[in-house]
Amino acid sequence: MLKLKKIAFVLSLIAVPFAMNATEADTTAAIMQYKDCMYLNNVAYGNINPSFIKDLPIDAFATLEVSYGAGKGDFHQIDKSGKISDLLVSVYGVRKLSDVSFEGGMTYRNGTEAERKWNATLYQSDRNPFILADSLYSDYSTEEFTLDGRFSWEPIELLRFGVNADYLVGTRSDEQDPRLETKGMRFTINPGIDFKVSKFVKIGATGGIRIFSENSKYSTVETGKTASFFVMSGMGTCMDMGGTSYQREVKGMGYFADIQIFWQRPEYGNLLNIGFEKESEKATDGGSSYQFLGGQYNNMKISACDRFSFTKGKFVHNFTLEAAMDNIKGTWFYQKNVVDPKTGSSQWVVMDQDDTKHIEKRMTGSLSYRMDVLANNGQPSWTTGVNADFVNSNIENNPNKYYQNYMNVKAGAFVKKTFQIKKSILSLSVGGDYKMNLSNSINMAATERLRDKYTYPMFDFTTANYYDAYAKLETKIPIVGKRFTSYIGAFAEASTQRYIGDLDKYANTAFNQFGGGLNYTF
Amino acid sequence: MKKFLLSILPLVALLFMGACTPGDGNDGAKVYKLTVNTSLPEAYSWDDVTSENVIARNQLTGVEFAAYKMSAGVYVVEVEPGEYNVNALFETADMNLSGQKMNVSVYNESSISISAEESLTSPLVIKEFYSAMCKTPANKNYMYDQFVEIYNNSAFTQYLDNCLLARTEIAANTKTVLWGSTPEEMKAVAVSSYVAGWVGNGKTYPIEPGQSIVVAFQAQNHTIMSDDPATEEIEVNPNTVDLSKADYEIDITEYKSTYVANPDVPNLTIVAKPGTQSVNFAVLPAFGAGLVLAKVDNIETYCDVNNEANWVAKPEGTDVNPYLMIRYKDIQDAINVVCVTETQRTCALPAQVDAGMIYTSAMYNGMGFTRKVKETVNGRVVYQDTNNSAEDFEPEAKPTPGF
Repeated sequence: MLKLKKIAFVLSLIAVPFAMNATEADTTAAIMQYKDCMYLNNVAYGNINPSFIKDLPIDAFATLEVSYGAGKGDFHQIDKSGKISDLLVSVYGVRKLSDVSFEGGMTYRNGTEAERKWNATLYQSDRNPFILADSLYSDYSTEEFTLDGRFSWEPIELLRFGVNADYLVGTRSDEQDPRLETKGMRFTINPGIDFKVSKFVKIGATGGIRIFSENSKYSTVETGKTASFFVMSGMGTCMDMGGTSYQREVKGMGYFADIQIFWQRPEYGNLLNIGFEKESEKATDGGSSYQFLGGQYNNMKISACDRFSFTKGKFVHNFTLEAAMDNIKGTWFYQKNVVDPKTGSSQWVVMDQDDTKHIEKRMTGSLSYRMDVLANNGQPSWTTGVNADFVNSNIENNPNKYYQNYMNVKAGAFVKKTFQIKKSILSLSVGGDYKMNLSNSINMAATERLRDKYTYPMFDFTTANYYDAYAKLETKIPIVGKRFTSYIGAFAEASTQRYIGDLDKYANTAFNQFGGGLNYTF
Repeated sequence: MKKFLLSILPLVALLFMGACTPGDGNDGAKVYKLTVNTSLPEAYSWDDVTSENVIARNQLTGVEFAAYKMSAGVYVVEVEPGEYNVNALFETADMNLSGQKMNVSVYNESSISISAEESLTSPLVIKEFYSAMCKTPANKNYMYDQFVEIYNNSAFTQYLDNCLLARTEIAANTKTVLWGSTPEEMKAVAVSSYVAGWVGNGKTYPIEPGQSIVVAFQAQNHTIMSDDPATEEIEVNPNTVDLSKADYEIDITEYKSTYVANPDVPNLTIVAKPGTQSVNFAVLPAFGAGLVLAKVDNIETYCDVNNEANWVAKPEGTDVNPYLMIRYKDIQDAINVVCVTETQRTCALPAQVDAGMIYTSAMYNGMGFTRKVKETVNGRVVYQDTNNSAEDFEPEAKPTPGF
């Protein structure tokens, strides 16, 4: 009975946002521009601590969206596709009651990637060097489902609690030999708390776990046809475990803790978040027939983020500073295939291990400024901003002490104008970025089999200079009913990313994307 | 509160600056020193050696680690933990010397000894061979078109009498070699499947200088062979070769009823059948093994299954069947044929027989290997024979059997 109650409670967390209608207290303008509204009116918006959603500025709304996007072009990383498409169906909503606030959503994605190779992973960490790969082009289909929800409860004025949960599950597959099917799952749960230490200051904390699981399986239908399955160990160093089939299971676990100092006055606000995270992913190959350890990835990450906001008249200014440091260590297990003379069966035995097989020290940072000019309805009529990002990565792969280092910076700007046309709105956004590599160096012996086919091309793209530009047009039209008002919206967007460096292979290449969708908000 | 913020922000900055300090934590790479003590045959001294090369090759990854010299005959190679094959190659003014140690486990500082011996060269060489086999137009594996071309690389007439062709018992995809590695055991290599040879009076099968003979597994025009013996439909297969004019074929009709022999082409004699016989091909499996051309004193006596000196069971494992052992000193030419897949590159033959290995880019791709030409002497082509197949052969060559 207790279990049923728990299940009913969890389901209620997901269902409540969508079951409720907007109250009359919510303004039409706020709901039509809910993303801007929630960002501008809650300096803790988007923070990992779920207790802060109690400060959401809108009492209730839900939105359903269907969108389609496609992209094509030759300027892309070599383990990505040059022709992609995505169909997305999503619902999202918030609901505030007197002491409790809810926020959550669901997404279904059906995507295709044509002629993709070199990476069989789905949700494995991008920084994990121990990937499984093949070198043959395949046309992949991906189905993905996400579910996320959080609530915040304020039992007394001084104290608020919250719980956040994210669930992601998906499958990627192709129908050409060698056929790959990768099934993955990520789940995150973190309770949070914030405590009011003075009239304007709160201190918050959250901590949680991330659970990760992924299973990749290559198979070959055509008899006699073999393929190379590359067990990667960083920077393209690899073992070729060729054959007609191969299987890998990766399991991961992560822990994180974040503290927040939240300061809010009527016209000023600041949130400082300091985070610590430790995650690990371990690959085991071979399935039931044998077990070969394909490497263990460990990452210890610290991060800090500060957002400062102040309002003066119709102008709202936001400054955000973010920095993160990843300290990655990949462990390789040296194994020996031992045959039992009596049974003839063999198994891999770990003889030694190297905890510094792959080392990466990675630092990222960003600085952004956004300014909004509010209209009479309290929502932005103009929004503009600039941002600058940088990433510095130093990788070493042992025992050969191969290395690759680079530092990239990217600067961008955007502007958005929202027109009020009777009761409807029409928004036009344009923006662009310029990415530049400041320094890079790479060293790997020419005898490495994949150096020229994988390692160098991957590095070339990572350090490539480019600019991108995008434009988005969106509208929302209110539909006034007898009992409540709802809103129908549409959007169309396009972007291009163009190479501007000296490499012949990328000369005059670009990756162009377009998309559009419809949404219904109530 | 202001004081608190002012104090915590510098701490955060320090935290990041400390995390970015370069160099920390990168010094623990797992590398062990393997000391290789080498010795030369009595007739040679270290002063005779004009070049030296000691290499450890990781059995699993294929990565090669070169050694550096500590003193005369003593070398150190720094390797990551693993199982290794170690080759020592020395050149003198008139002879190549080589030695090999297989299955060397390196999981801590260790040392091994290798005795280099004179590398084998002979007048009879394998000029071309084709073992990868091919695909039919219907994309099925076609496994009847292997051949070996043997060439007289000398200036004198040679005789194929008492020569034999065989494949090593150790295939290239073998995970664990069960033949041991003691010096006594390493004087010969075990062969399996069909051992075919020339049984004659000593001068029955002459081969003139600069001439070659082609041994086909099945001497047919494979380009127009029926893919399915049960049907009479003929399909043209441009991926294979016409072997109908081969000099010899290896007739296994006695063992495989669907084998189609060519009555116009003489057969080699199946002189031994050690281990398990391959039913679909006579020479090598598509994923590779060692290919051996040897010449013994008396082929019938040597291969007689009752000759216990030459028939030996594996010293390890559960297989109690005896295998025919071919002594290294009897080998005329031998090649480590392995697979493009690195985990299928077990070399069955030591460096004194073949210091290298060779492979095609895929199985069943219709590609073979041709030996490189060294020079032409008085109109006679002399092929390169450095005892290293990786150096001596052009891989991925379209088969051109020379009839």
